[in-house]
This record gives sequence, C-alpha cells and structure tokens, in this order.
Amino acid sequence: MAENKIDELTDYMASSLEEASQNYTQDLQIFPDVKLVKIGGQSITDRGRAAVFPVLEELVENSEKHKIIISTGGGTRARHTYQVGIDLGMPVGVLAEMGGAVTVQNARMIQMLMAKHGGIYLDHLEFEKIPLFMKLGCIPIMPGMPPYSFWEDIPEHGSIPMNRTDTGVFFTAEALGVDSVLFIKDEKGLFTDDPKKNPDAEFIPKIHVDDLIAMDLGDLIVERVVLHYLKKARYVKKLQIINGMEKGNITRALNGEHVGTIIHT
Amino acid sequence: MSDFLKEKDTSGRTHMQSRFMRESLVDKEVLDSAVVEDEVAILPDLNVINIGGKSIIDRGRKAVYPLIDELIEVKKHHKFVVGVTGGARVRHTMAIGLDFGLPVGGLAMVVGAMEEQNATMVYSLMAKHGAVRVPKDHYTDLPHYLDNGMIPILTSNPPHHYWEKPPKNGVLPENGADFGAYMTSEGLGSRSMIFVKDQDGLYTKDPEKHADAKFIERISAQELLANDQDLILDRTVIEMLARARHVKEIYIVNGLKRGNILKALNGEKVGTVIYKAE
Repeated sequence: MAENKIDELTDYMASSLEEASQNYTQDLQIFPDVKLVKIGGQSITDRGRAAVFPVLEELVENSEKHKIIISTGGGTRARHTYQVGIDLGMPVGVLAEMGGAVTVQNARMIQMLMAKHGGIYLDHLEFEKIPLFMKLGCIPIMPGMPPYSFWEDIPEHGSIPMNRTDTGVFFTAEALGVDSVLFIKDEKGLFTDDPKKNPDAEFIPKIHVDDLIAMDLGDLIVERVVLHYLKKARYVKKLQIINGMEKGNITRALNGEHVGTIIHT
Repeated sequence: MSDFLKEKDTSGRTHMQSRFMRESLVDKEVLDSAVVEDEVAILPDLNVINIGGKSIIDRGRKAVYPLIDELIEVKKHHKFVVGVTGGARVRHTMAIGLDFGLPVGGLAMVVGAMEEQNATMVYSLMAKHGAVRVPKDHYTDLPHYLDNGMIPILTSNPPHHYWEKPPKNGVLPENGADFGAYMTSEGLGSRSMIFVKDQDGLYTKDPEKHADAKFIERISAQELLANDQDLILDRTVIEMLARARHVKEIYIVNGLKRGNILKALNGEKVGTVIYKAE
C-alpha cells in the first residue's frame, strides 16, 4: 500500500479518537440489576462449615428475589504464601499470582457447596456468559483476585500486592455497572482500629470516602487502594460491609437496608 | 508445633502459622515490614524489546523488514523477547468503544485483539528465524525457548481486562501496551527494556510540531512525573519505573535507523534513557 495512504488512515483514526474522547458519555451498564457479594476469606471461608453454611444458606434464600454474583477472598493460606514468598525473594507479580490461586480454591469449594442450588464457577474471562447463567437461575461464583498477576503494580510500601480481592470485586462491580457491593465479613463493619486487638476502637456506621481517606487510619477493613478507586468510579457509589455471622444481615443488606458500615461517594 | 491454630477466644477464627496470621494486610505497619530482601531476578539475561504499533508496524514493510533484519542480527549476541503493540487500530477500537459508552474495563477488554494481530504478523515474518508466539500464561516456558535460540513474540497489553483501573487523566485506559512490556521486564527481573519508536527519543515537546523542541538524552522518572511534559510512552510506565526494583532504566530508541537496538543492548549512548533516581 502506498505510504501516504497508510498515513492518511492513521491520521483518520487518531482524529476520530480525539473526537470520541470529547463526546464520551460512559453510560453503558452491562448488568445494572446484579448484586455483587464478596465472601471474606479469613473472616468467613477459613472458619469452615460453622460460618460458611449459614452464609450460603442465606444467600440461596435471597437468590430468588435478587440476581447475585459471589466473589471469594483469600485468607490465611494467602497470608502463608506471602510469608514464604517474601522469604524466598519473590517479586510482587509472583506473589499476586500465588494469592490468586487461593481465591480460585475458595471459589471452587463454594461452587461445590452451592452446585445443587445452581452455583456455577465463573472464570475471569467468562463474563460474556453471565446473561445465560442468570437466565437459568444460576449463582455465578468467581475468584476475587484481579487477573493482574505479573502485571501487578509495584507496591508503594513493602512487597505485598496492593490490589487484592477487594480490588478485584470492586472492579468486577464497576465493569458490570452495578451500584453497590456487599462485603461479608465477621465484624460489624468499619472501626477506627482493629476491634480484635483494640477494645477502644469505635464503630463507624456510615462515612464518605473522602472523610475516610482524610482520617488516614492505620488499619482499614478494605484495601486502601479501593477507596481511591471508589472516588473515580462511574457506577459503584457505595461499599457495604456487614457481619455475615449474624443471621438476617445479608437479607437486610440485599434489600437495601443499612446494616454494618456504608462507605459512599 | 502444629501448622494450624484455632483462636481460643470468642472470635473462633482458624489460622495457619505465619507472621501475617491475625494481621490485617491493610495495616500500614504490617505492609511496611513485609519487604522482600534481594528480590529474585527470574530471567536476569533477558532483554525486552517492544516494537511500537503506530510508530513502526503501521508504517508497513519499509519500516518493519529492516528492523526484523536487525533483530535477527542482534540475536547472535543477546537473548530477548519481542513485545508488539497495537497502533492505529487500537485507537479506532477505542473511538468506537467510547461512542458506544463502554466502561473503561470494557475498552481494555477489546483493545488487546489488535496487538494479537500485530504479534501474529511479526511472528509470521520471523518464524523461519526461530520466532515463537508465547501467550501470557506460558511465561514459565520462556527459558526453554531462550536456551534453544528462539525469539519469543509476546503481546504487550497487560491482562487487566475488565479490571482496568479508572484513568487518572482523560477517559482512555492508562495501563496499555508500554506498561505491559515494562512490567514484563520488571517482573522477570530482566537485563534491559528497550522501546522501539519512530523518533530518536524524548523531546521537551513534539518535534514534529515545534521547531524549538529539545532532545533529552537522560532524565529521571521522578523528574518526568513532576513535569507535565509530552511523553511518547504510557505515563504508567514512568510511575512504575519510579518504584522499580530490577529494571531501573529504560531506553527509547529510533527503530527507523539501523544499529540502535544493538547499541542500546551493549549499553552505548543512544536514544533517551529514563532512569529511576535513587
């Protein structure tokens, strides 16, 4: 092809991108009526049957009324793998990859538990099949770790990946265009410090993300980067953190009631 | 001592023995203390050479054929992988995607296909010289290819897909092919990272539009981030370079002039070097 023709095409594509950027209205909600629910790793899954069975039961009860997608956390095996990996000198990308494997295990186990209720394992790149699963009344279960693996950002501090399962769940919600994400944990919600270690920690029922960032807490119940992503989010307007060990909380939260902590924009 | 520990208090959590058990991995002190000493360089002899889509491949035969001859020559002296980026069709894909109102993760999901096309073409041109396509989930096969004198051709775009982060500036995904190539080199602890473009390196302004644009031979990543100047790489590359643990300088060289890649690989002065100020 003549070179000037190539130049002409390249120029055309560059100019059409500039125009499209200016006119961009991000208004496609791929799945606006889905409720995304994260089951905590250390807080729920690692406790075994005593904690997990009632949580899953409550989710199944609600799945007739709500379209639910479940995402899983890592937990104590992820922590163990980070320790061994750090000691062996592993780069952050390898740590991220290893952390991801634990969330895949958790998702597979929860799928087995929920299979009789339509639980179906959803791989990262199977988003396009969600409409079919929903139509069939399935409950998709996906691993929470984002797929960055080797391409995980170099952390600002230390060597543990900054983008872990809360980030993965958050971006799943944002890409699907859902308006809220529910984090099921074993604490009432957000406290000013870790309530398991500090009895004086105060409970925070509701807080604006800017105020929470300004408080600069030493510890948080969600990954720090998620707060910054939430500020830039187009669809996700709030994160809700609830204690799934108390029966009824999941149902109330799915029905839009304020239980636990809401971090909002 | 058992590897497992059941908490005796009312909380009832079960842990595996590790220094992070019971800890919040969000706690600042815990994170600061969790540092890898002497991080492993997985492939320390490897060089990553990233060929620009718009700057080289979209120019067609005239630009690509001589560059491939040069790469085959370079193979006699160095081990490398070739990353390939998308170019004008990526821009067009994004223009259409923006018009549809796709979310940023949706845009990131579809752009990679254009790089796959370019990688397939570069592979086809180089196959008789030992090129092999290596997808991301086969990076653990790289030693096998490199030790047998082959040239792995990678797709540079990172696997962020729907998990692409919201852009800090503008509306387009910011973790593009340049970012992916750099993170490949950094993650593998490789020897060097070379971006092959169609200009001699970085200038203070776009040299095609401004006669007073000055060439930059060497500049730190931190300085570049502080200036708000025109970059010819994803800004995210420079952000990561500022935190680099292995690949602490990157080259930008002109791939339309012969000999530059070998010079860069031999550590000679060529193009622009961007480095991490320690």
